[in-house]
Amino acid sequence: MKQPMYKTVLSHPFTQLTIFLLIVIGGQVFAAPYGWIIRYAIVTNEFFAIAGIVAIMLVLLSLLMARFVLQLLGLTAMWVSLIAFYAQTNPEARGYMFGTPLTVITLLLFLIVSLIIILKKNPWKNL
Amino acid sequence: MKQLFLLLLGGVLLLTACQKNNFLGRSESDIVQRILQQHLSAADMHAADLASLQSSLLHSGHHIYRLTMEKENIVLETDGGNQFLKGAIYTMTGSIIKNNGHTTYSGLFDRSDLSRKNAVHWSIDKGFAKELHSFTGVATNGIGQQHVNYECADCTLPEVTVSASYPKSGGIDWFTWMSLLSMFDMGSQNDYIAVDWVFGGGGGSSSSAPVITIDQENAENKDKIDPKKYTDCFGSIPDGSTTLYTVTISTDLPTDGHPEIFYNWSDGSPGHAFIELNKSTPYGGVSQDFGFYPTSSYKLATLDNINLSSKVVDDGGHEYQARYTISVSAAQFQAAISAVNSARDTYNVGNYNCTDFALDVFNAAGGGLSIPRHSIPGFEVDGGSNTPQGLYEKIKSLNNSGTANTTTSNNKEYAGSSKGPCN
Repeated sequence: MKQPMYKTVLSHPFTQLTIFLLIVIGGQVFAAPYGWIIRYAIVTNEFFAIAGIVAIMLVLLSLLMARFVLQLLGLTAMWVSLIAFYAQTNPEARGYMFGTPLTVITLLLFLIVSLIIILKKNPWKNL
Repeated sequence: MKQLFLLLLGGVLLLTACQKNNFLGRSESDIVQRILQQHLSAADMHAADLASLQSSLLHSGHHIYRLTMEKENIVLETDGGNQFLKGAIYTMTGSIIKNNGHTTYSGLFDRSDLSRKNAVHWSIDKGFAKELHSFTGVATNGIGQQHVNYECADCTLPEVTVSASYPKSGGIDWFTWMSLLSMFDMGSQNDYIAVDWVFGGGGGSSSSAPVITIDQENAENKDKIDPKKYTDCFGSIPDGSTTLYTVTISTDLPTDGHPEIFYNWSDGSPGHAFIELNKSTPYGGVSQDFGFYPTSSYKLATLDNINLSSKVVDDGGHEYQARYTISVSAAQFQAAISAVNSARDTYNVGNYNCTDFALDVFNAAGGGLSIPRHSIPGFEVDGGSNTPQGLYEKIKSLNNSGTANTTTSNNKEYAGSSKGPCN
C-alpha cells in the first residue's frame, strides 16, 4: 500500500536533514540554526557536534545507498546530538535557548518527522 | 640481646610511624572542633552542629569552614597549616528579590565574633547595609560647608551579593522535566549546587571535590531603558573643581579566561561589552552602566548581517573580565552622555554590535581606543568586526604595557550597580 504523499515527503532523508539543520537555537544576542552551531562547535571537538556530523554523514549515506537502516542510525545520532547539546547547556540559559517559539516549533517538527520515519512502512519503496 | 634491640627498634619505628599517620590523618572536623572549643562558649559549643560542616579551599591556600549552630551560622578561616585566623557567628533573615535582571537581598544581618563580642546589626536594603551608606549632616568641601542628605553616599558595590537562590515557588519546571527525561541532568534552576565546597564532619576526613565554576550569567533579556532618564541623573551632582568624571569600558568574554573562544555553547553567549559613566564628588556620586542589545524578543539574526532593532539596557552588575577606565573632562563626559543618548536604532552582529556601541561612547569621551577586529563566524564583514574578544586583547595589551586603570582577570568580576532612572 502506498503511503500518503505528505508522509513520503516528511520521511525523506533530505527533509530529515534539512529540518535537523534548521532547528533554531536561541542565544543571548542572536539565534542560530543547529547546523551553524554544529559547524562551529566541531572546531573545538564538542561531542554534540561530532554526533551531529556523524548523523549528517549517515543520512547522506542512506540517500546514496538507499538503506533505511542508515537513515534510522542517522536519526538516532541526530537525537543523541540534540540531547547532548541540551545536556551541556547551562540550566540558567535553557529558557532562552530552547523556550522560544521558533525553537519549540522546529523541535516539534523534527519530532514529528522522526516519528514518521520510525513508523514508515515499506521503507524506500515509495521514494 | 641483638634480637631484643631490633624488636625494640622496630616497635619504636612503628609507634613513630603511627603517630605521624595520626597527625596527617587528623580530619578537618577535628581541627574545627579544636578551634571551636577554644573560642566558643560552652553553650554555643553544645549547639554547634559539626555534622553540617563544609569546607572550602581558597586560592590563597587558606581554608574556609562553615557550619550551623541552631538558627545561626559559624564561619572560620584558617591558613594553609590549618592555624585559626578568624571566625564569626552570623545570621541572615530576609528575602531575595529579582527585579529588572538584578537579584538582590534585603533583610537583616547580624554578626559577632566567636566570643559574641563586637556584634553588628545591619539592615540590608538591596544588598547595601543601610547603616554604612546613609549620611545626614554637615559636610565640608572645597567651597565651604554644606548640609547634605545622601541616601547612598557610596553605592558602588553592595555588602551582600546573591550568587544563587531557590525560587519561592519551587516545583519542577518544563526544562527540568526535560532534563530528567534526558537522563543527562546536570542540575536545574531549582537545585542548589555547591561551588568549591566539600563536605566533612561526622568524624571522618573530608574529601576534596573538584572546583566547578558555574556561570550564573542571566539571560540577556533585559528591559529597554530610556538612556536619557539615566543620564539626567548626572545633573544631580554639581560640577566643580572636585568633581571627577570617569568613563569605563568593560568586556565580558563568552568563556572566562579564554579570549580565543568566540562563542559559549553552554549558554548561547557571544560575550558582551558595555560602558560605565561615573560622576562623583567627595560627597557622593552617580554611576550608570549601559549596554547595547538587539530588541527583538527572539533575536533571530541568522547567518546574515540583518539589521535588528536595538535597545540600550541597564548593565549595572554585569560580569566582566577586563575593563579600562579613563578620567575625562566635563566636556568629554558630556560627549559620552550624548553618545549614549543617541545610540543607533539598529543592531547588527557583524557591523554594529555591543562592542561598537561601547567603543563609540568611550571614544566620544576621548578614549582614542581602537581594537583588533575579528571575523565573527557566520557574520563575516570586510575588515572584521569589533568583538568583546578584541576588546579584551586590547585591554590586556594595555595592561601589559603598564597603562593605568586597566584590569584583566580570568575570573568573574562584576560592575557596580547603576543608580537607575531619575525622572
